[in-house]
Amino acid sequence: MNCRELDDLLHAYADNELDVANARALELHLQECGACSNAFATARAVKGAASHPSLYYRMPSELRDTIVRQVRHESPPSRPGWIVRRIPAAIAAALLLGVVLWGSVQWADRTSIASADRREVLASHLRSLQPPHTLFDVASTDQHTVKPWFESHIDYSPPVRQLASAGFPLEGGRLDYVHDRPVAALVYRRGQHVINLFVWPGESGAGVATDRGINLVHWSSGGMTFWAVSDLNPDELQHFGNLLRATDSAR
Amino acid sequence: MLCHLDAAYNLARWIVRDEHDAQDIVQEACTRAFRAFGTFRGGDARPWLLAIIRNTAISMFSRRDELIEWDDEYANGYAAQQADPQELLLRAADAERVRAAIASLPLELRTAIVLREMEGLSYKEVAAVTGVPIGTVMSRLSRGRERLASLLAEPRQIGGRR
Repeated sequence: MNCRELDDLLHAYADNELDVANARALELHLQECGACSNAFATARAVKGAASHPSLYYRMPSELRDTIVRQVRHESPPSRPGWIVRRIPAAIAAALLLGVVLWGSVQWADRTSIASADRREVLASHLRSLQPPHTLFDVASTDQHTVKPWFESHIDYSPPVRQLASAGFPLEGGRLDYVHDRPVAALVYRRGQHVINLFVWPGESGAGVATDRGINLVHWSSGGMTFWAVSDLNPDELQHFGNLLRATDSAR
Repeated sequence: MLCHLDAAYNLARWIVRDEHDAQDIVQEACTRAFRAFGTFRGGDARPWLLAIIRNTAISMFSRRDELIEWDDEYANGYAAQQADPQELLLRAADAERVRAAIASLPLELRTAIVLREMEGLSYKEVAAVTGVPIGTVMSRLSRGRERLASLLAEPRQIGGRR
């Protein structure tokens, strides 16, 4: 291992954010490299220093009161002329928010697997559209180019369909990461809208969701899980999913 | 949202390094957050609120040079001083010294350190709050910590560098 290239990995390891394979390789290296194990000890010492509770700024109580009042003031329903300046209203607003948050946590628990996947694919989708990122590792409208590319870059073979005739041209694909595992991401387009289709092995049910204005359609077929993610409207995205499912079952 | 007010204030305080500015930011951000609550779709509210804090801080104070300083000067040619971990542990016990060292980091490194070490956010959450890929979070944390190690390894007091 090259010590210069290990810097970031060393810190990710100290943060427990390294995948098993890299962690194992790094552990072996640390046993034999004095400079790196010194750097690792330094990283941990700095982590300890920076996480000391005395560095944390707690909110002054006057500011907290002001914000609670503010939030209450903003909270619907607020009838004009209805003057509420008392603490009970603030508490009511806080409780209301608490109930909303609690409810969303409960909901998240019930659907934890699907929602963990949903968050991951949504994050990957948004990342893929940000400038430093590339939407394609392989840019091609030809399924016979895209499919072999995946076969040489990932250990499974996602079904690759051309849907240009239905108005969803295939534009390419890339490797992306979901739960720290490489997965296939196929890129389709509908007008100005990019559709990321994430595919990985294993079936995990089906569903639809909307998250921060992005629509997600999720299904399982032929031993694979599919997530279509786009800012396209839900009906058209559903239609896209149905087309893919239909071509899969007609195969 | 209200249960994350300390986290909101701590982040704002570290971003602008000023008590009164931090208060203005949190107040403004909480108003924005409350109006945007309809866009919140479950999950953990803390990263969501922290992202609003960061955006508010940057939009309110973007004209200030010290806030938008870029950290290229640290990316290139910055040689990490080899610190003795034992010695470092002793210096790390001096909380005011550590505070001054963190405060002197460039904005992006400082923000990553605060979100990771003080809030305990995962890399993925830090990436979401700061709007950068996870690889960038990784390198900001490693650069931030190396710089902190060097600052703490310097023999003299480092307060008031900026």
